[in-house]
Amino acid sequence: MRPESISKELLELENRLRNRSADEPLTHLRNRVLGAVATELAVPRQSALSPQWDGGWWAAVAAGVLIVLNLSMVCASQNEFSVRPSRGAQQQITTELQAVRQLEAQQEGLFK
Amino acid sequence: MTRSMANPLVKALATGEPEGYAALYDRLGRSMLRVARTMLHSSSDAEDAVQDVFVELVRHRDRLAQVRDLDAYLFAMLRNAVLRRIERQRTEQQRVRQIRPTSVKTQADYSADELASALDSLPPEQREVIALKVDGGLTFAQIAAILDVNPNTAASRYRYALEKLRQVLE
Repeated sequence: MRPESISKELLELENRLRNRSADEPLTHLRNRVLGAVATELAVPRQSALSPQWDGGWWAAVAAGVLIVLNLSMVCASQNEFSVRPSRGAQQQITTELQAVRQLEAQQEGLFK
Repeated sequence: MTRSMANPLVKALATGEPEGYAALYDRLGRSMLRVARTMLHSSSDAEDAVQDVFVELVRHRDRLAQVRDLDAYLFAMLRNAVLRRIERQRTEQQRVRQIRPTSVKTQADYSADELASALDSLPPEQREVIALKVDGGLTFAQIAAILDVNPNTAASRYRYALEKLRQVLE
């Protein structure tokens, strides 16, 4: 595919560009690039199932569990654990207390 | 097997065979370096960009199975590497300007030949299309895929770039 209406002048310029002097890639670059490639190829690839990743995964889970435990203990220390009776039970207790006091009064009367 | 994996070179690259990378360098290394030089105006940065591409290719070799056109894929990677380096060059230049506000031309600026100077004066998008076409030897379809434009747009951008270059040289 060529750009339409490209003139002879532009074609000459294109050839001039193509033939312009440019340093050829040096051998050292080839060695350098392929050396970097070899180094990169030697690096073990980490997959989802690799032991290293598993270690990281379990460390993350353990850290999470510790954080949850810690938070739950903080919350627990701020809670009040005293048991308060419900309203119905409170009335029953009051009634029974009055009955006990009456019995005590009666007992005191018996021994006077 | 995917279409690209039918290509023995792509298969060698994907399986991490060093000979595959050597063959790829021997086939495209020269044109990649020329493209990078034209876009970056710096031989050392251009060499670094080419190396970056090969290292990236190794790191992401599992993606090669999805690649339809290896050359276009490689030059797209090169373009990204070059753009990252251009950004770094800009930051460096700003830092130098802050230290030394007056514009000082280096010896390399004076010794650059006429054609290279003319190329440097083109806007980056025009210089880029010339580099990919002339130095990279890519087709307009490949250039269009790399630049994410229509092939006709790539062709006309190239023609405008040549015309602009001719005007600069006159």
